[in-house]
Amino acid sequence: MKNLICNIISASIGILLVVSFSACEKSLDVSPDPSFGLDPAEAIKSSEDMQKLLNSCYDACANMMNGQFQVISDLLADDVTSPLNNDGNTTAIFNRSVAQFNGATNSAYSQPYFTIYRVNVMDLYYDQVAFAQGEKERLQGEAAFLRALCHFETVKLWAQPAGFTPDNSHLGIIERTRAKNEVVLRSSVASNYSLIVADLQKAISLLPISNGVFANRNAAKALLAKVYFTMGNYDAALPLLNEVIGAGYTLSDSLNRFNRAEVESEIIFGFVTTNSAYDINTRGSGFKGSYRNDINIPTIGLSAELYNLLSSDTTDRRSKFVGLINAGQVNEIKVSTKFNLNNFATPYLTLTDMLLMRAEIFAIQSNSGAAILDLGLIVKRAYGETSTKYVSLSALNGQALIDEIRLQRRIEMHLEGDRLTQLKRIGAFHSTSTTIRNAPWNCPGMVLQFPASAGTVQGFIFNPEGGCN
Amino acid sequence: MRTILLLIFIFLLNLGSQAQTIKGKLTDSKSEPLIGATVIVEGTKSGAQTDLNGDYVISGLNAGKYRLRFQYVGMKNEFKNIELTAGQNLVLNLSLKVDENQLDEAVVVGYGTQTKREITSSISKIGQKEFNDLPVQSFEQALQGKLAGVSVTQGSGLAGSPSIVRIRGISSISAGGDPLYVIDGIPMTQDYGAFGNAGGANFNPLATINPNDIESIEVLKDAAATAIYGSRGANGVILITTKRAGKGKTRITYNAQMGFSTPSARPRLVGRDELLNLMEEAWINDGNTGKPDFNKFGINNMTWDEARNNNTDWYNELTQVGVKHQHDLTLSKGWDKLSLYSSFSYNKNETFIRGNSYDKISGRINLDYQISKKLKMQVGTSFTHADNIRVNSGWSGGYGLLMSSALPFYPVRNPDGTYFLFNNSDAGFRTNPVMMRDLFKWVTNEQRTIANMAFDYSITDNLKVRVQGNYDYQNISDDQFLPQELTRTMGSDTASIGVKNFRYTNNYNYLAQLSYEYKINKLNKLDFVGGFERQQALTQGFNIVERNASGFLTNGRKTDNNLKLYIVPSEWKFERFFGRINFNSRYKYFLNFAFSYDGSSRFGDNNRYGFFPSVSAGWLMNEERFLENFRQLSLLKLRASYGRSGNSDFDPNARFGFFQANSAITYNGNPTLYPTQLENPNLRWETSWTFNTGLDFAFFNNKISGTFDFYDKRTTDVIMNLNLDPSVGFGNYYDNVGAIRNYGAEFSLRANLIRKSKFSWSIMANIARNFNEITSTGAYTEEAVSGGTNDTRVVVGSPVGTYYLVRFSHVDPATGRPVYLDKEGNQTFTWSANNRVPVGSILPKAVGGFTNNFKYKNWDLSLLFVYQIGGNIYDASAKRQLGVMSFWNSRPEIADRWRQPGDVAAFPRLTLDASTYGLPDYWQYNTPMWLHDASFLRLRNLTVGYNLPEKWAKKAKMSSTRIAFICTNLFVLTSYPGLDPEIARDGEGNINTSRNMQSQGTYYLNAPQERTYNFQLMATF
Repeated sequence: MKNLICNIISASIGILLVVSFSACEKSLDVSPDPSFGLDPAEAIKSSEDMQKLLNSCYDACANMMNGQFQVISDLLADDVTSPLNNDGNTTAIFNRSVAQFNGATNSAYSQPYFTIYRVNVMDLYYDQVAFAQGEKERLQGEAAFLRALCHFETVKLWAQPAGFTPDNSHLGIIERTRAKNEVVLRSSVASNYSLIVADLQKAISLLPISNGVFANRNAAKALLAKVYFTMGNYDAALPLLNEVIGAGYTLSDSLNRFNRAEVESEIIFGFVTTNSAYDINTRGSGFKGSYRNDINIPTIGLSAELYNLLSSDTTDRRSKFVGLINAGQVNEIKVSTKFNLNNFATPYLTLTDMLLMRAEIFAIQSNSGAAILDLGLIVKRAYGETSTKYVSLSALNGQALIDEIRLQRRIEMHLEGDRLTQLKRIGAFHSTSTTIRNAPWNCPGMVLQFPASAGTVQGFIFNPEGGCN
Repeated sequence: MRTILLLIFIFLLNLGSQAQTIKGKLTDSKSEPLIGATVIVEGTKSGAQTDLNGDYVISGLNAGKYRLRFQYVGMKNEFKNIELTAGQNLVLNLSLKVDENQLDEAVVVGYGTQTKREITSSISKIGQKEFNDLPVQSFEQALQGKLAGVSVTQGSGLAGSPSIVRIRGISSISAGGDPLYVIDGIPMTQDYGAFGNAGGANFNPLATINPNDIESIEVLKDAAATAIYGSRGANGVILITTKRAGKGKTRITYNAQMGFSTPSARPRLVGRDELLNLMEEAWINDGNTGKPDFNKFGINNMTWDEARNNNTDWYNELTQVGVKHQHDLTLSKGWDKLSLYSSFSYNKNETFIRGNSYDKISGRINLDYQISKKLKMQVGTSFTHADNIRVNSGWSGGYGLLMSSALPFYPVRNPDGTYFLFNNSDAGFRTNPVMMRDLFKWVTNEQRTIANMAFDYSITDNLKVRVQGNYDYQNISDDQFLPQELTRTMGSDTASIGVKNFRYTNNYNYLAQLSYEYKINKLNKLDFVGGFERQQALTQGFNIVERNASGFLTNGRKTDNNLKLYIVPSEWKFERFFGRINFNSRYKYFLNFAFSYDGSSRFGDNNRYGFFPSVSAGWLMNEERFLENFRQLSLLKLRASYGRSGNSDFDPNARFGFFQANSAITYNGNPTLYPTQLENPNLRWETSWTFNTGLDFAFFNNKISGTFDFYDKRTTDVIMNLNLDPSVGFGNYYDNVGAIRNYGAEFSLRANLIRKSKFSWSIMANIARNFNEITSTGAYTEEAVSGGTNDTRVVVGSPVGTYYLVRFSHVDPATGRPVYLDKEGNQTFTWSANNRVPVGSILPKAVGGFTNNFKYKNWDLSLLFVYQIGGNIYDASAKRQLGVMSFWNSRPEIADRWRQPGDVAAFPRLTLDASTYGLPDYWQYNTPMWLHDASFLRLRNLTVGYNLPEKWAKKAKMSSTRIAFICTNLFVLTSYPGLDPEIARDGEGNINTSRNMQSQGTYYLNAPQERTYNFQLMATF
């Protein structure tokens, strides 16, 4: 027994000796290589870091609006054909039968929340970082603007529009206001728009008047006007439109809306591009992949209705944007040349848009004269000052005037994702019998389905599907 | 000394009574004395040990009847009933027989060995003989069907395709489900996702191990066996011991195998004319008139009229008879103090897919040197160089296109000799597979060395210390070259492109271990093992893309012409204390306690260490007196164990949150900074508590023997790479969620049915039934984790890898449209994801195998059958082949389709429009229509061998020579209508999750396994 005890002691000493050379509390620490990423606790230490984080918000937002959202929106509406490549995902969008496993819409759904999360991360650091005078307010304002933009674009596609129910109590989207992995379920559309409006009002109060190519006070006002317009709250939209339109922007003579240099004077806010390989690959890639037709066959063509609208009047300068591939053959494809570019600067808030919104509000409010003045600027640019079209505008009033404004909007902003929003607004507030490609504006399939992964948490309610065909 | 004192004590107790003695000599079958054998007078405290001459003496017994037990390690116990009369001096000499039950065979148990007698846990062993006859690409394939509870699903016929090995079901979701492989003491690097699933295949980290170097494989299955591996043992441990030389003369062995590879099955597809008829029928069904417009099918490089000009047999274009040959040369030699084992192996392994092969050169040296009486050194090192000449497969093209978009009316080449381009816009299916194979050069080469050095020092006879260091180095270079001719046609670039993806892993561990044997008395002893181990591994690498390359990139240098990006290094560290105590009483009662106290860098400070204990006991019942009359019983041993083990095999960086500062990603030229990963500082060990009880038995002098085990394993804190609600801002997040239960039974049987001098017949059979159930997913729904491609989900109350599909009812005779069932069972024409329910599982109900060995004179015949009962295969290819018509080929089953009102058919009307089937798109046709019973019986191996008579061999100066003809996969019986019921699909996305939840049963354009015919020559000099 004595030997046993001695041996155990020897063994223990031996092990301890080995261990003491080998192990210590920190011996298992590993620091991931900085090339992989920065520790969150170390990542943001200065206002420069905050600016970089904000830059990434713009980048993520630009990726979302590189055509992805716009193409999805137009596939649901009536300006395009069924995808030419028989692609399952985009065909499902066109058929208004998007289900939980649609790769195209699922990818799109995650995009706005990248920006929103980053904006919410910024909230964690405002009190921990030193800023130059006014810098903090600018950052907060831009962040609020971008969060509002992302929530706004999302609610338009994944929820029935404002006006679908009288009090907008129908289900909207998930609102994210904190950078936290927590369970949040869908709010009502009323709540969604309240948040969007609040964010934009905050942005208006914080943003400077001028801010280079980034969001400024006018951009926030313009977006808020657009939000109110979409909500059918024309009274709230009008004063904001007046302020923005009166802020010194001018219509450019160029109609190349994606060439920022040519249309700079009318851009209130848009996504910019440079000649970097990254920008050429990403900015506008959603548009290019679907519509570009000068170097390959596009995957989506123009609907006959839109083609005819664009091409029927050759005095319309915008008719230059249409073309035909395999003209006259069985496999003829109608295309828009608007997207035959390498480098895209996607406009988001433009004077054209503001003028057309104000014109429609004026027309709805029976202020035909004011409406024609705004509409006239657009028509004059397209057809010329001496054109019959322009000259005859003064004869328009009532519903005919409203229809003309909406027609000009459709032509002017074709394939920019605007058409669906307008048709739903019209259906919700003006003509409940509105149909979109023979389907009611409010049929379930007109709203995108959420990805299955949204249902990872208990209690999430998916959208109803189908019902449009 | 203690024996003498005991005898004196007994003598004093019996003072006054008359003295009787029993004495004698114990010998073995060759009349050699057995030294240290034990003689026990049962029911008394009397006994003796034999001396150097094998003699024993027992005295001090009273007159009367006694039962004596004679026992010696490796020998069968003998029992004698005697009657001592007063004053008698009985002489009892005995020759003990070798214990054919091999109860005292050494078994590697992790950080030591035990005899089979002592083992209290569930361990299975397979020896080198089992490997010799199996022409396997990777050693784990040879385990299939041979060990109860070890499920091996072999990979596809693609070179380097990894198997899926599961021990007693699956208890992990996003942590690795594979067992821990330990080769000569080092836990191996085993990353199946080194290059994701490029080309439709994962990486097989086990392929570089040379099966010919393996002496034995022990599979540790229950917690008592694996607890000493602590946090890494939850999925079982596979211990690989390589060969070492014994003492004796030089021994040289040459083993050659030459053979051919053919596919085990050929895809069944419709021919050109039938396909065109089907397309036309769909066109008309959809209300169209005139000739079908191929554009509507997604075919835009050919017109309907041109289609009848070609009729290509893509099967012949893409397959071949592969040639295989393997040569193994081993040398072993033992001197007084030094022994040497060395081997060299060359393996050329073409598959039946043209352009695809796996070539390997490997070598090993194992040295044992007795430095002094107390100090011994062991050194072992191996080196392997493997070239996997690759082609695309599965979803990625190549052989996969044969079953999808390589249509019979497509020509291989245009009339001008250029390659015909399929040119549909579905990127994965646009490339002519012959063009791709001819022009795209791709090789993955791996170099690996596994080395170890150990010193064993005997401090005393009973106390020993071992210090061991191990090193596992692996570098993998994946080289691709796309010439201009290819890049131009693919439209991705106009320049030639060279790609080099390089990874290398340094994995090393060292351990210090003490073992102590304490003999309490003749019949009771304790064994202690304790130690400390540390392991760390670092994987690094880079990816280079170079435009205008002239061929493979020969080095990894950054130049002005290339883009070189370093990969994120992956580093982990691991350390632990471990210990084991075995108590052996009377050679029939055994108690074992083991533990491991583990720390891992994968966890934060708050959860860094975990404690993994186990307790187990064994009772050799046949040595009890109450069974002595059961003469037929050779062995009866009862075992039970309970313990905890863990799993930490997941992304080493999972617990960290990260921000990325990326100069390449800018906005308006300004730098960006953004979060890329959500942190979870509270990640902790995935742990399993396992109860196991087993019975080992043998009858009729060991003619029939077997083992039965029952186990119940409950796993909690299951690590899941959760699909996050996208609104969180991230796609995935690792967390400990939910629980899984596995319970089941295993049975294995070995029977020597006939054992004559000229003829023998033996059978080995095993079966394992496992029940698997996810018992909780915490606060999450079925969508928390998906097995990939919309097929399997985590469903509480159902097994891991449950198919979650919308039920199909029938084809409506009136309209020809498919009718589905909603969740309540109501019929509907609309497919909706909301109506998905659990309908099947990738996991089989039971797996096993049986082997028949026949010997007649010098001839032998061996047949290995493997089988699976239950489980499901989801044929995801069929939803396109038998679904909405497009640019895919179809299968003959489509003949049973609806054509006109009133038809009762298996498949609905043909259409180009997914909405006709109520589908959102043609990819969503996920229904049990494509779900099949995965049961099969397969003749895995047939070997006919002939051992040359000894005198012939001697004439050729050989000690033995054997020739054999070996066939694999000769046939399979199954109701599965696809190619091969054994599926190990490439894991996609999160490789662990995919391999655990999908790969084993979800089929998608995979190549079948190969059927091989081999000739073997084995000569020993």
